[in-house]
Amino acid sequence: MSPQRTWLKGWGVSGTIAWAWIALIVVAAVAARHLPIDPIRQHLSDALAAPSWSHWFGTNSRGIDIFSLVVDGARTSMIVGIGAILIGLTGGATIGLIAGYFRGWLDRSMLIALDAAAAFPAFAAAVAAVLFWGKSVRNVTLVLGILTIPLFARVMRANTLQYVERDFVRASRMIGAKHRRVLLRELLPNVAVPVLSYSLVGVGLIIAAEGGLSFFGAGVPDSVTTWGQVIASGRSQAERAPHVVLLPALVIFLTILALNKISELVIVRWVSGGVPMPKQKRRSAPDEPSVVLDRPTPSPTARPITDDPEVAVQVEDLHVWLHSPFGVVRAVNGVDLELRRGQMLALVGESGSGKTMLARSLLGLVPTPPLVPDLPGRVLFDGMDLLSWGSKSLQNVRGRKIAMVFQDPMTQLDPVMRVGAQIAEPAMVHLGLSRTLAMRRAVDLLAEVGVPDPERRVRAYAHELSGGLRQRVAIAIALAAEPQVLIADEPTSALDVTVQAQLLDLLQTLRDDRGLSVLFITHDLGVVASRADEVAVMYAGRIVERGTTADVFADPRHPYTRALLGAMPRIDNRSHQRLNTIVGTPPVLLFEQAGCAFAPRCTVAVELCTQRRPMLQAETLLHYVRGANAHDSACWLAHNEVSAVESPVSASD
Amino acid sequence: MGEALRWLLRRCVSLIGVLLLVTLGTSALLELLPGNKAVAILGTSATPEAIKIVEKNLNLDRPFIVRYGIWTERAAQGDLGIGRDGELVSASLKQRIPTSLELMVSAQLLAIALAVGGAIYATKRAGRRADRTLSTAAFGMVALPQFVLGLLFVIYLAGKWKLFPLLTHPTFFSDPIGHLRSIALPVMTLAVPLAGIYYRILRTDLGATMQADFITRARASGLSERRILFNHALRPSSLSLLSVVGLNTAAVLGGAVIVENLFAVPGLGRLLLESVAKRDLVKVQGAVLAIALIYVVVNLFVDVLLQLLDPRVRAATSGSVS
Ligand code: SF4
Repeated sequence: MSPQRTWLKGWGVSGTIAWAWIALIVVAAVAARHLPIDPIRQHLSDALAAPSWSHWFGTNSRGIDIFSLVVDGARTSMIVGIGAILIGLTGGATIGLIAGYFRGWLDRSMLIALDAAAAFPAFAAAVAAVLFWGKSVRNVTLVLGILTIPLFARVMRANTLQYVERDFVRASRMIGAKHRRVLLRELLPNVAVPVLSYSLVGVGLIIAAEGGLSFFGAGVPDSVTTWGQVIASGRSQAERAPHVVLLPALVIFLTILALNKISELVIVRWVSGGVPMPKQKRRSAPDEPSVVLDRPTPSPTARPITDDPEVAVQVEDLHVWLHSPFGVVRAVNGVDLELRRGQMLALVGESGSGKTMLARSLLGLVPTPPLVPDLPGRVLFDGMDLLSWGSKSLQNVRGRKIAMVFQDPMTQLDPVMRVGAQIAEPAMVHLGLSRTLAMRRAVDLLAEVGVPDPERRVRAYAHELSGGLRQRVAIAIALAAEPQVLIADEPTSALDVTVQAQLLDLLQTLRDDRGLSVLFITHDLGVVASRADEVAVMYAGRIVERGTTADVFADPRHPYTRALLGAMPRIDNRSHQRLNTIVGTPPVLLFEQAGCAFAPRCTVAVELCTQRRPMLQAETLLHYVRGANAHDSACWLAHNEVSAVESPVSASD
Repeated sequence: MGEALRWLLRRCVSLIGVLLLVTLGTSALLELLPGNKAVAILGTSATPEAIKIVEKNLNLDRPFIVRYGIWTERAAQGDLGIGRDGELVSASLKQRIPTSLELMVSAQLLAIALAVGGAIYATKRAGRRADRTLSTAAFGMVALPQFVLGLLFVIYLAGKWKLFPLLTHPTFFSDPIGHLRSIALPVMTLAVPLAGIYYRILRTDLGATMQADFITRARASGLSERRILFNHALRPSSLSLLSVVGLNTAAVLGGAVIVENLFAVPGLGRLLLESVAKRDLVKVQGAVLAIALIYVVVNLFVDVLLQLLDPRVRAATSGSVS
C-alpha cells in the first residue's frame, strides 16, 4: 500500500473531505488577490440576483458578486480566527500548564479566576470593547483572543493534571530535574496534541464569534470583508432574497464542521497511537476475509446432548475469537470442560490464556462487535445450549441460574448506588420480591457472606468498604437470585493473602451449604490446592491438563503445570524457595500455531512438539502399568509415543 | 449533617469570591475605557462645573479601588445606583431578570431534554445507523453559529412560514399560548447548539460507562438493558454534563444578546449592550452583577446536585471516614 493510500485510510472519507475543504479555504485566504474574483464592482442593475452561472452565490443589494465577497472574506476571517487562537493558546496554555503542574494555592486561585471568567458575560464584553476601542481587525483579534484565554487554561489544566501523577513525570521530578525542563520536555509534548486539537475547534468558535460581533456592528471595519460581515449586512434583505445569507452561512457552517471533524480525528488517531481504529462493520458486508478464510472445524467428537444430572455445566469444543485492531485473536480454541454439580472446578492459567474470555462467553457477556459469531462450540446447561440463545433469553439464566463474580472488587460495584440496593435488585427482578422483602434479603445475604454489621452495611457505598468486603458484597449480589452455578473470575487476585484465604473458605462453605457449583478462575495454582475438587490448566486458549486436584498435584503431567507448581512458594520445602518462574511470555493468539503452543517456553521440548499439536487425552498404558493416577493432559511426553522413543533429559533431574 | 453544612458554607464563600472578582474585573475594564467619563456622559459641550458635579456624584474624583469599595458596600445593601436615564438600576434589572431567566432556563432544559433523550436512544443502538445519524446531527448543531441559526429561524419559521410571531410578547398570564409561541424561537435558537454540545458529552460518557465493569456485572445479574441504562449507567454518566450545564449559565445569559437582539426580547443581555452603547456604566455594572449572581446561584445548585448524585464526591468534599 502506498503511503498516500494509508494516510487516506487513516483519516477516512469524511476526514479527507474535511481536509480538502480547509485546504480550499486556505487557498482562498492566501490567493484571493490573485483569483479572478471581483468583490468591489457593483452591478446595480443586477442587485439581489439569485445564484446563476455568472454569479454563483448571487449578488447582494448593491449588486456585488457574493461569491467574490466570500472568497475575499476567507482571508480576514481566517486571520482573525487563527490570530485570536494563537493569543488564547499562548496565554491559556501557559496558565493552565503552570497551575496544573505546581497545583497548590496557585491552582486554587486560578480555579476561582476561571470560575469568575465563566461567570462573566464575555460576548457582551467583546462587543463593548470593540465599540470603545475602535473597529479594526487588530482589536477584534485581540479582544476575542483574550476572551479565549480562560477556555484554553481550563483545557490545558485538565490535561496537565492527567500527567503530573504519571510515573515518568514524577520520576523526573524526583531526580531533581529543573521545573522548566520537566514542563517543556516531559509535559508539553504529551499535552500538546489534545490542546492543539482543541485550538482547531477554537478557530471555528472565533469565526462564529466574529460573525456575531459584525451583527452588532462591532466587527471589523466596513472596508474589510469577513464572512460574518457578509451575512450581517445581508440581514435586512434576507427575507426577500435568502441566498444573500444562506450561501455564506453554508460556507461558515462547513468550515466549522470541517475544523471540528479534523480536531476529533486528530484526537482519535492520537489516542489509538496512530493506528486507525478498526471500522466497525457498517452494513453486514461480507468483507472480512480473515474470518471467512479459516474458521475452526467443529470437533468430530461432539456428542449428543446428554442430560447427566451430575453435571451442572458442560462446555464442548468452545471457540471464542475476537476482532482486534491487529486481526482476529483466537482467545479460546476448542475447550471441553465439565463442571460437576456441587463441586468446585478451578480453571488455572496465566493472563492471556483465554480463561476470562471463556468465563464471559458462558453467559454471552462478550459483546458481538469484537466477538466473531457462529463458531463451533456448545455450552450445555439443563439440557440446553446457552450459546444458541439471544441475550434477551439469557437474561433469565444470568444471575438466576448462573451468576458471576468479577476480578476487581472496586469497579464491579456501582459506585453511586448503595450496596443493599445492588443486592436487592436481582432478587426483585428474578424472584419478584417486593423492595422491602428484597432489602431484608440483602441484609441476610450480607450476613451469610460474612459481612459484619450487615444492617448498617446495606446502606454503604462501595467506596466506603475495604476490598475484601466489596468482594463479599459482589458474592452477595451473585447469590441474590439463588443461582445454581457461580463463576468466579479471579475474585481474589487483587486482594492480600489472608483475605484471599477467607474468601476461598467462604466459597467452599457456599459450595457445601448451598450445593453451589463453582467455576473458580485463577492464575495462581497455589490458592486452589486444598479447595478445588478438580483442576483444569489452560494455556493459549486450550486446556492442557485436567483432572482431580489430588491427581494433578500428585503427578502433574504437562511441563506447564509443573512450571506453575514450581513457581508456587512452598512452605514444606524451604530450600526450594521460588524456583522456576516460567521464562518467556504466552503466545500472541493472532495466529494458529502448528505444534504445541507451549513449545517456545518448554524446557523439555522435542522436535515433534513444534510440528504436531498434542491432543488432550487420558493416560497411556505406561501410566497404568506404573500405577499412576488417571487424568488428561496435552503433551507429547505424557503420551508414551515420544517418551518411549527419545526420552529427553530434563535439566532439573 | 454538620459536614454538609460546612461544605455549603465553604462553597458559598468561594462563590462570593467569584462575584467580587467579576465585578472588580468589570470595574477595571470600565476604568480602562478611553476618555473622560463625565465628559462622555454630559457631552463635550458641558461646562467644567457640571463636569465637577457629575464627577463628585459618581465619585470619579476618588481612586478606582475606593470607588469599587463604595459600590460594593452599597450593592451589598441592594443599592445599585441610578442609571443615566434616572431609573433605579435595581428596578430595570427587576424588569429584565425574569425574561432572561425564563429564556435561559427553558433553553437549558430543552437542550438537556434533547441531549438525554438522544443519548439514551443512541446508546441503546450503539454503533448502528441511528447512533451514527444522531452523532452527525449533533456535530452539525455544534457547528452552526448562533446568529446564523437565529437568522434562519427569522427568515423561515417566522418570516416565510409565519409559524411564530416575531414582535409580540404577551405575558404568560394574559395569553399563555401566545407567550409560549413568542419565546419558542429564541429558546430554540439558544437550545440547538447547547443540545449538540450536551449530547456529545453525555453520549461519550454513557458509552464509556457502558464499558465499565459494573455494567458487565449488572448484565451478568440478568438485568435488562433498559434497567441497566436507566438504573446504573445514566446517573454516573450525567456528572460531567451537569457541570458543563452549570458552566454555561453565564454564556447563555450573556450570549443571549444575539438572540435578544434578533427577536426583540427585552432581557439582560440587551440591557447590557444598550447600557454599553449609552455609556451607562452604573447599569453595565448592575447587569454584569445580575448575570454573575445567577451564574453563582445556578452553580451552587449544580454542586449540590453533583453531591447528591455522586457519593464519592460527597466523601471527598466532606472528608468523611467510614
Ligand atoms: S508437547 Fe512438547 S513442547 Fe508441548 S509441553 Fe509437551 S514437551 Fe513441551
